[in-house]
Amino acid sequence: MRPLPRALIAALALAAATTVAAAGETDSSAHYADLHNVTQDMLDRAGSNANAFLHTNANYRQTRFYPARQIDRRNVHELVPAWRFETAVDESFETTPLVVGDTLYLTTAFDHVYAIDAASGKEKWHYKHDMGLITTYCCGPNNRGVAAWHDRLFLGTLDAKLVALDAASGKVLWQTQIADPELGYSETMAPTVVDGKVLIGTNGGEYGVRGFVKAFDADSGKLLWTFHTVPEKGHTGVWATHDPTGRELGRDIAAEKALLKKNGGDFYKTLGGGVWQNPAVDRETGLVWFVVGNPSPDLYGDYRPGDNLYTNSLVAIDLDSGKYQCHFQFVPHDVWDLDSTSPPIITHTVNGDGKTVKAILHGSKTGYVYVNDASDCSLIRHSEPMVAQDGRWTQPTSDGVRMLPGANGGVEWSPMAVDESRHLVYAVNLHQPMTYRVNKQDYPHGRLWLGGAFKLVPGAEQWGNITAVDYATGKIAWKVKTEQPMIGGVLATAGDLLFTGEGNGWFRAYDSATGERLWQYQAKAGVNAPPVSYNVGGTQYVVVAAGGNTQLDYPRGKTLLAFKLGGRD
Amino acid sequence: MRPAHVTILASLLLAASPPGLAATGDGAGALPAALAARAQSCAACHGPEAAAEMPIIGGQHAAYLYLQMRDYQSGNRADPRMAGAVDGLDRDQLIALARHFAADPWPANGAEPAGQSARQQARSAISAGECSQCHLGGFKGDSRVPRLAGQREDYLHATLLAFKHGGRSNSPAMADLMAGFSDEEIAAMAAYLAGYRDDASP
Repeated sequence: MRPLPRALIAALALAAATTVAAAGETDSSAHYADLHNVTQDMLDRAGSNANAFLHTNANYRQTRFYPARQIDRRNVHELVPAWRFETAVDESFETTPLVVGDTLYLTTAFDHVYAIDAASGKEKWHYKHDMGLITTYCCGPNNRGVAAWHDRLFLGTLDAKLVALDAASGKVLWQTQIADPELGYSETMAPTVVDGKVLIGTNGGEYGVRGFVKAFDADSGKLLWTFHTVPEKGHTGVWATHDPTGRELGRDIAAEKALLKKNGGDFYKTLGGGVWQNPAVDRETGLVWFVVGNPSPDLYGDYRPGDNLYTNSLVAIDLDSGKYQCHFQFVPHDVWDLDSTSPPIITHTVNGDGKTVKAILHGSKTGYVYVNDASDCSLIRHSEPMVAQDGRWTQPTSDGVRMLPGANGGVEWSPMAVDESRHLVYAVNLHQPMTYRVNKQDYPHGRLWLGGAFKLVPGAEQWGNITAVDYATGKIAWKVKTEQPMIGGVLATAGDLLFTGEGNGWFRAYDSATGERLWQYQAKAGVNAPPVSYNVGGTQYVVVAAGGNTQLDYPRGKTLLAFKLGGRD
Repeated sequence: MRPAHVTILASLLLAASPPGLAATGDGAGALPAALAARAQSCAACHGPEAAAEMPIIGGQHAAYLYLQMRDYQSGNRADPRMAGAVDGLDRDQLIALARHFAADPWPANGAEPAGQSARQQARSAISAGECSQCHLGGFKGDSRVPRLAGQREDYLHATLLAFKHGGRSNSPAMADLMAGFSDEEIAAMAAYLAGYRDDASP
C-alpha cells in the first residue's frame, strides 16, 4: 500500500476536521481516501480528526481530548451499548484501542492483538504473541495498546520484544529483542511512532533494571538510539532536601554521602527508572517528553545514595538523537515508590509572570499535578493535593510505618485528559493507606527487589476520586469521590463530557465543567482502561475495555464495550 | 523413592547423558531417554503418591520450575535432596525438564475449601499483601511466579513459614512480605490457597 502525497492527505484531513467542527457532528471518512494507511500527516493532525483514534493518548500532545460532540452533555443519557467484543483473555485489561479507518485495533493481557470492525464489533484477525519462556513483570500481564504507522502496527511484549505486525493481516513483519526479560525488563506500554521511529521505554523498576527509552526504525526494526534514564555520571544530583512542593524529605544527606564514598556509584547499573507510558512529542521543537519511574530497590535507599536521577522525573530528549535536553525531579531519592507513570501532556498556560508559555502537565503518585515550563523543564506551579497527605515522606523503618499516599496512589499510570478551553486537567486518584517496612537486600538478579515490603492497612478506608485541576492556577475546580481507588484513565470530549470507569464495573460520564454525573453503565467487570471515541459512518462511538485490574485486584473480564446514542444505526 | 536413591540415580544419569543435550518440545514424549529417566525420578517424589509436604510440579509454570532447579544447583535455594536431583544438568536440560512437567495438567490435590474463619482471615491477609499482583487472578501464577491455587497445603504452609523465618532465601521480596504476617495468618493462607475454588463463597 502506497502512501498518498502528504499535501493531499493534509488537505483531506483538514477538510474532514472542518466539516466536523462546523456541523458539530462527525462524518464518515471512508470516501475521502484510504485512511488505513497511517501517514505522518495523519498522526500529526490526529488532534482534530474525530473520525479516528490514532494515538494511545489521542495525539502527540497526549491531551486525550476528543474533538467532536455528537454525544454531548444534553444527550449522553441516551447512550446505549452498540456492540461488545469478547476476547480470549480473562485478565487485567488496561488497554487503549486505536481506530484507523473502519478498523479498531485492540490488545489484551499476555499480548494478544485483535483487528475488529469498528462499526459492528466483528473480528477481522487475531494475533497471539508466542511468549518466551521467562517473563518478569510486576502489576499484571498487561498490555496498553499498539501504535499505528503506515501499513503496520507495533506491539511491545511481556518478554521484552518489539513486534511489527501487518495491519491488514496481523502477520509478523519483524520482531526484535529490546532487553533481557530474565533481568526484569518487560513491556506493557504502547509504543509511540513518529518520523519513522518507534519509541518505547521499559518496565522493571521493581527488578533493578537500568531504565531507558529506545528508538527503533519502523521499517526494519533496527535500533537507532538509546537514552538511559539513569546516567552513568551525575545520578547523585543536587542532594535535594525538599520536594518541589516545599516539603522536607527527611534525608540524612551526610550518611548518604558517606555511603557513596564507601561503596561507590556503580549501582547506576541497577537503579531502575522504568518508563511505563507513552512519551509526548512536541512537533514544533522536536523534543520527546516522558516521565521516569522509581529507583530500585523501591524502599531501601542505602543501596543508592543521592537523588537517583532521572528517576521520578520529567525528562526531555531530542527525537533525532536521543540526547538529553532537560529534566525536573518530582521526588528525589524516593523510598516510597511515589513515582511518575501517568503520561505527560503538552499544552499552554500562563507562567508566574502572566506570560503564556508552552507547558508540560504531569499527575504523579504523590497526588499532585505538576506544571512545568517546556523551555527549560522548570516548575511553574503545582496543584493543590488531590488526595490526603498523611505522613508523606515519613522514612520507612524495619518495624513499619504508615504512608499516605501509599505506593498505589494518587495518580497511577492512568492517563489524564485536558479541556484546553477551560484550562482544566482531569486526573483519577487513589487513596490507599499502606504500611512500609524496609529491609536491606542486595541485588537479586532479576527477582522482585523492593528492599522491604508494602502492605495495605487492613480495615483502613480506601477510596478514589476524579479531580479537575485548573492548571493556570493549580486550584482544584471540582472533585468527585468514588467508592474505590481509581485506576484506568479518562477521556474528555468537545461534548463537555468526561468518561471514566471504576473497579466496581461502573463506566460513567460526567459534565466536564462541573463534575455532575450524567450517565452510567454497569459492565460486570472492572472498567480500568482509558476510554476512546471515534466516528464511523456518521455515528460517534465511545469504547472502553472492561476486564478489571491485577494491581488493585478488581474483578476480571474480557470484554470491549462500544456505546452510541440510542436509535442511531 | 528415598532421597539417597535420587542422588545416586542422578549421578548415573549424568554419566550417561550426552553433552549439549538440546531442549525439546513441550510434550511428555519429547524428552530424550536420559532426561525421561530423570523425569521419572522427579515424578516418584512429586507425583500423585507424593508425601504431603512435596509440591505439585505437574502443571506448574515452566519458568518457575526452571529457576527453582537452577537455584537448587547454585544453593540459592537450599535443599540437599533437590540439589542432588538436579546436579549436573545444564540449562537446556533444566528447561526441557521444566517444560515437560509444565505440560501436564494440574492435578486435583483433594483439599476441601478452607472453613469460613480461615477463609476470612486468609482473604484479609491476601488482600493486605496484594498477593494477586504477582500470582494473578485465581492465584494461577505465570512464568516465573508459581501457581498457588490447588497446591498442597502442607507444602504451602512450610514454604510460607520458611520465607518468614529465613529457611528459604531465593525470593527476598517474599521473605520481607511474609515477615509482616502472623503464623496464624500464614496457616490460614495455606489452607485457603490449597482449597481455592474460583467460585468459592464469601
